[in-house]
Amino acid sequence: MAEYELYLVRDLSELKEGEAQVINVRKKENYEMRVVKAIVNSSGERLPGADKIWLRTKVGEQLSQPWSIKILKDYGSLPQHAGLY
Amino acid sequence: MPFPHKDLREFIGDLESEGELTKVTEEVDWDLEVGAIARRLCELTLGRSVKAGGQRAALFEKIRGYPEGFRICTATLANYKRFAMMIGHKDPDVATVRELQDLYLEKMGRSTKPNIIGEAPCKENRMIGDEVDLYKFPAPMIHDGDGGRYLCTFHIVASKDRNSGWINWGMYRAMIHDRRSLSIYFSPGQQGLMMYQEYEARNEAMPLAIAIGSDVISLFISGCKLPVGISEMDTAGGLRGRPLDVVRCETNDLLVPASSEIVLEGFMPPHARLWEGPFGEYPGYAATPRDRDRPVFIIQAITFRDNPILTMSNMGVPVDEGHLSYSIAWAAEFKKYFAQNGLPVVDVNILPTSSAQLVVISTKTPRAGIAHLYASAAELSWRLVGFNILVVNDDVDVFNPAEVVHVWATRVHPDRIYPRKGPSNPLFAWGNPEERVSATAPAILYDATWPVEWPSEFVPRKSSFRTIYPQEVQEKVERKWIQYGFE
Repeated sequence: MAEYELYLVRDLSELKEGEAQVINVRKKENYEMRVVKAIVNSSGERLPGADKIWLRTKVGEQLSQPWSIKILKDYGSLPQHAGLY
Repeated sequence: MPFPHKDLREFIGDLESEGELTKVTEEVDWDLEVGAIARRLCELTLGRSVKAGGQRAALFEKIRGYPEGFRICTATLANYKRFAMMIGHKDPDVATVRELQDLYLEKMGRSTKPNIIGEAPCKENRMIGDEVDLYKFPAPMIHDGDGGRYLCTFHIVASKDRNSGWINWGMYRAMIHDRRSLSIYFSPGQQGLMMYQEYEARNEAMPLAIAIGSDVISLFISGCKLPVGISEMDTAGGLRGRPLDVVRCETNDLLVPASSEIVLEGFMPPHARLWEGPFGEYPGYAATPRDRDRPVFIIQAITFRDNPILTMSNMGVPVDEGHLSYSIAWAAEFKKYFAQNGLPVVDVNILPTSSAQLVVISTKTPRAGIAHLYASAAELSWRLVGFNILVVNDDVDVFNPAEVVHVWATRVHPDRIYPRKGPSNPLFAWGNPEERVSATAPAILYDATWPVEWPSEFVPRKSSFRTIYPQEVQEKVERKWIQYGFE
């Protein structure tokens, strides 16, 4: 199971549980920033086979419990997605 | 002891022979472990040499997931002895802060043009275009919660003024996004940002280079606050006492130290901003939250030495190499500026233990309100960005932290504490959220001088060994100290 991290811009309300949405995540393996379409859920049980994602506040504090994430599409790294090269 | 050191490797060798560096052969993880070790080294050292109880600098020789030879060096200038070795003090073990300030000013007054050479150690290996991969280097995740892996924390950022051609070397943190790009954090008013804004206003990309693991004098100089238009590489040559070898980049005409371990070349596109931060910074906090407004550096080429050494600084609570080395440089510059402007300054010290945020000034007091003149002068000298200032009488040794704390706690009347509004720094932890964003957190002036209008008999007599006992008693006690059974 892969592990990801996500920085909240404001608070948890910006994440729509169970709905596909485009978000910025980083893979724990090397911390590369990726833009993905994904479904996230606060409970791993409702997304069988999903990966783990840790949430951090904008000052870097990690929330105590991980969420789950199912990536539907990977748009590439953040700079590539922004068309910078 | 060699001076100047021809490259980082010679300095590392010198540190090792002086017992100031440990080569860590045990495998360490780039993901937090290296950062945690560096942080602990700084916090245990507190600026002291190893002989005086401090810890060594570290060269990590085996990094998880990276080939043998890819190394990280940290805490390189994290005590006074290492700074003294860097700047060429004749006896680094006993160098005082005042001597280091004087040596800095003496050498910074010189300027020597660099040698531009063709082939250079930093060109031993090349990655060009699609070959570029920042993940080939063991960029550390320094603090838990950092916005990414910070490849650049003790380095040189080279850019050229669009109009004059002046090449600036600065030190601005840079975080990896992916194999070919980083985001750079500039504080408001920093010269690299001012240059970028000139290009951006014309919708042009700014050529940029970052040199990592250069000779320690060049690394140090790039973090000093030199005036606009002054070349750091000429100043480095002056400080070295001989020209610095520099080399042109492969893809632009920027100049970087030839001995650098790793050189990143590329450009900053106009109007491109991405997320960056948070990052544990030198005031001792991760006070800048994640922000999507950071310029981006796209890498076109990387050149590097065989077995490259990545220089890293773990900023946080005191005392790291930034606190120590820049407190010496900035205090020396303040003292020079005050004297040039006719202020009766005696000494200036920036306490590294204040995260280099408290400037302590000792002065004669020929008139009332002298503390305000220092604060105004400090603000006029473009070097002051929100420092707190403590002004004390000339009986105080500003280099003695215990004495400074005592005076601060006992001589500052509440009516003589003055918040001062002005250009500030988003990194300052005491700023409220709005002040941090707008870089307007006020600084504080503490006037600890005795009011000149007080009758002399009203100034309390200082009760210390040096001031309360007759000279003959002091001399007797000192002469017989060992005889009493003390050390």
